[in-house]
Amino acid sequence: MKSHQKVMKVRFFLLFIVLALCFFLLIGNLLRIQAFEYNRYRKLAINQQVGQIEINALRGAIYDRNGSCLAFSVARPSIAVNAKMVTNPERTATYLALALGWKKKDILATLESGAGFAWIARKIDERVANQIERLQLPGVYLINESSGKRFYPKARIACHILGYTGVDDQGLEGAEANYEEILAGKVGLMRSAMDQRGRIIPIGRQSEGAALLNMADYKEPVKFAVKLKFAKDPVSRYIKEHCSPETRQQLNEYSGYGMPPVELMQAVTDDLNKLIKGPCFFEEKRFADVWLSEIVRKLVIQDRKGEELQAINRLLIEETYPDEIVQAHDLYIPPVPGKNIYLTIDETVQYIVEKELDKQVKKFHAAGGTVIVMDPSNGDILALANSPSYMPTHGIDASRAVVRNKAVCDNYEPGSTFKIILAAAAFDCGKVSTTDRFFSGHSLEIGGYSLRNANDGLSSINGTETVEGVITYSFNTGSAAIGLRIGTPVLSSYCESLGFGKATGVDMPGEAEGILAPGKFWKPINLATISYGHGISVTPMQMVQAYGAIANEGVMMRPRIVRKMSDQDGKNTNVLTPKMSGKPLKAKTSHEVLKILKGVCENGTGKAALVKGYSVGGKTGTANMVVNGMYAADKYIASFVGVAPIEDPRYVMLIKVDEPKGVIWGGSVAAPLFNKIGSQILWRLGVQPKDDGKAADLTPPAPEKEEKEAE
Amino acid sequence: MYKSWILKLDYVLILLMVVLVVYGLIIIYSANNKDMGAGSEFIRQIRYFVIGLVFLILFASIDYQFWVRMEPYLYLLNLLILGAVLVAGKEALGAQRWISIGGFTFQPSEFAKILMILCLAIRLSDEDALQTEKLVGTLIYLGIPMALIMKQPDLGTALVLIAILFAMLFVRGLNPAWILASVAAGMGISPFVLKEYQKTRLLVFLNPDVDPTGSGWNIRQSMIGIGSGKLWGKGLLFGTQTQLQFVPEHSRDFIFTVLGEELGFMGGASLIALYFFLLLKILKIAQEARDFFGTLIATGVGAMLFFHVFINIGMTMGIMPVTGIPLPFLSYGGSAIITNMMAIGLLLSISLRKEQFFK
Repeated sequence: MKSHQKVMKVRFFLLFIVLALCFFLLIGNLLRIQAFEYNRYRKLAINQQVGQIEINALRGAIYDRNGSCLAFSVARPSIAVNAKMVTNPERTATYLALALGWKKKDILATLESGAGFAWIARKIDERVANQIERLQLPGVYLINESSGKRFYPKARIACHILGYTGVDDQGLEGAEANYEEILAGKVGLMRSAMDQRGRIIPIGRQSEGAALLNMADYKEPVKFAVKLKFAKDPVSRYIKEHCSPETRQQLNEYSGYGMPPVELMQAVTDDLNKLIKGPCFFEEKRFADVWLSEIVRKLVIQDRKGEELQAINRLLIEETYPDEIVQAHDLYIPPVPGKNIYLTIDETVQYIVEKELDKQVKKFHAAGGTVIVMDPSNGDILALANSPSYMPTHGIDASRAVVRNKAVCDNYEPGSTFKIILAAAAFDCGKVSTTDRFFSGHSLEIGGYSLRNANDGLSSINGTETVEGVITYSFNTGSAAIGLRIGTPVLSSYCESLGFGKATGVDMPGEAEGILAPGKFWKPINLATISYGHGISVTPMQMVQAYGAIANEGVMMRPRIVRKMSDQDGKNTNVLTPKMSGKPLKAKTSHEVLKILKGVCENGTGKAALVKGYSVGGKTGTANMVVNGMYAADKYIASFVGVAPIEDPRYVMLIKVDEPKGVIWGGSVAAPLFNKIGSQILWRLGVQPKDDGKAADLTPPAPEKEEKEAE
Repeated sequence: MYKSWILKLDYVLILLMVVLVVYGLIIIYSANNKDMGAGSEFIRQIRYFVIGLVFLILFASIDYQFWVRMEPYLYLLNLLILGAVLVAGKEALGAQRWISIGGFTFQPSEFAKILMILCLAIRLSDEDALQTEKLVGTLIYLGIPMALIMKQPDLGTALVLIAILFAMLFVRGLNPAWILASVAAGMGISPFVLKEYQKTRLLVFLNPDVDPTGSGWNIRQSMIGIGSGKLWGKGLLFGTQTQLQFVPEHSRDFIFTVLGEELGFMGGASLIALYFFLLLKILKIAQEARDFFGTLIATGVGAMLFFHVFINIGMTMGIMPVTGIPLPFLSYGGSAIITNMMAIGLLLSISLRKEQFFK
């Protein structure tokens, strides 16, 4: 009955052989993939499963001195959890699901994962974030990430002070660039498992002490042990030096071939963890040959502590041994938001200054202009404007010439406005008294050169003038005579002590230093021309600073544009103390020079600067522009530097108009601006008009808000 | 007599099957991240197993000779359900493979396998089954349902049927040269009958870069999963490759990947060993069967299971093409597990009656 069984016996045996072979093939392949090619697949797995995200800190805002916002960034809040801190996952998930409009189940899975850090939702709506914040759920927290976009709500206002930011949210000009580190805050890092669609997913293991190494973190223990043993690179050398003597001995005993002993690797791991727990592992020299990623570079320069520092140390070790050590899964270094800064400028004063400057530039078809208003008592810049201006929002696209902050970056010849410096030096050095008279005739011969009075000055009727007379009518010959009297060493040292030839140190980027030749190179003709502001180059900021010393009892304050910083929530306010640049003049000198300045406006070239109801002073100037080291015959700079009010100076104002057409005189082009601006801002600054009888017809001009450009 | 029937059951076979199903349930549990809710795959798989158990007992208790008389009905039933798929089937993943009857959704091509094993065994157990005319008749006999399956299209199941036929013919005594020649011929004509995507899938295993974003991507992810498992694996629920959704279909076609990643070489190799013992057991049943019919049924079942195991595991490791056939008893899927348990029922029936106990 079972005869067929015999017939088939061979065939069944063959089937068995085929079966056995096929299964052998399967097992063999499994062995190949999981044992021999394991490292390759593990690396591939980690590469695609580990996601790293740079978390940008929210950039601080910029306010004016009264708290009016001039620049801000918008936060995109994200919700994250520390699952270990969640006390009631059910309740937390229910609330989060309601607020976000999500399925509770999905949120609960994350909350129960046990992960130290996991995102719930990224870049959510601000209103939703506020709702969640109000719930005060334990373990749930908000992270404000920068959206990367910067807003300038006041359009062009204060553009040269503010500057602008680039595409990566980094400051490129103005305060944005100068206070980059303070505004930008500290970048954070988040690294965790990432799923196939790139979503960050917590897997629940490795979260506690993720920064520390463990035995499973060695991809290539042999390679790593060999690197440490021979310690040829600086990092390995450092690690080996910091290993315990026993470990070092074990390392030296290790042959370098085959698997290092488990005890050795354990000892090395312990020693490495000590380094990770220790101070920042980074040192420029040590890591010179190590390729560090951009994020790690940013992180190592930050001042971090505790777990965050451990994470940074771990990152450094990982990047030094990319082939030998596995990347940690859950690393979290929170971003630190940037600080808010409060400028010294007053938005309204700034607005008035910009409006009037633009009008004047337009009226005289000038190429541009600059106005700086500074409080001489503390160096606070109340307003700084250059014309033409630009929109910070489109700062990147604006032309370089327009973006350039000419108030601090450009040199010019101060011309007659510099005669005040001469006067200050003359009185202060004691060689000249207010009654000394100086030749102020039509021309003066010095070293083969003939000096003349400029067209806006007159030839002295008397032939000689007091210092006051020389300045009031702006005699070049008289100035040269004063200069020759006090001599090169005196004038050049006063130039230096009044801040010329070196940067003022104002907190703005790209400051120029002006050109002031050292006194030993001055010939008599140089002394003579520098006395009336030719043959010397200054920046507008230097002029303001020097006039500031005159207006402030001889004490020179360093100009500044930031007076206060605080955290974004308004806490930890840091009010900066004004800095003194020096005390170049005696108080007595200051009073004498101020009197001269007053005289210029009341009797001399600066009559157009007078402000009704106030006593003001100032000095006019007209100079040829220097183009490529040569005087340009038909290009002039009309300027005026003034002080108001003269008896208790509240501000020093520099006005400079470049290449006015038609009329070129400082007294006609620049001085009227001092009046126009002054009559509006003195009221704004709360200065009472001196002349009580006429105060009634002084109607405070309302800031013309409606003219402001809306963004 | 009833008592001794219970005692005579092949408990080793039953035990192997149960171990496999439990193994599968553990992996499904992990692949679905601990989901044990009412509608979860874990619970549903248990439900299918219970239904399968009913069929298993039914098939074991019926003397397999009974099916000989049912041959025309079985064949017609097969054509009917396969036809129904084409007329009223549900489309999913670019193929029509499911039909819904009275709230139950099932995959006729799974049941077609067991029906065709029975039908072919009946035809081939004839004395003159190997005569040329009869052989040609058998080919046409198998060709009709196969054509319907290819129409769905379900290349994997069609290939399984061919494997079943060849195994049976080999055991029946056909000259192996014919079988080898047919395999060669089949390979020769495949470029002309296969659809473009099927060709791509077949080529992928030769070179995963052919289709790096499609099937090639799946294979690559699967290999990364298995490869990163090492000796003991990453632990249940901790297969990062699986849990982060890099592994496709992880409770179905790629369940072996999950196992390989989470339980490592030890887990994978022990599963392969389990299958090996199961197939040895089936070979033994085939050899010891009372008659040719029994031998052929057991051979067919063995061929079916072997083909599934070999192709599926081979696919996850990149040494076999992607054909979309599940791993028997492990992969989630009602029709598949019920069909496989019917097959075990048949085997139990054969082993029970090897000594004509009931006659």
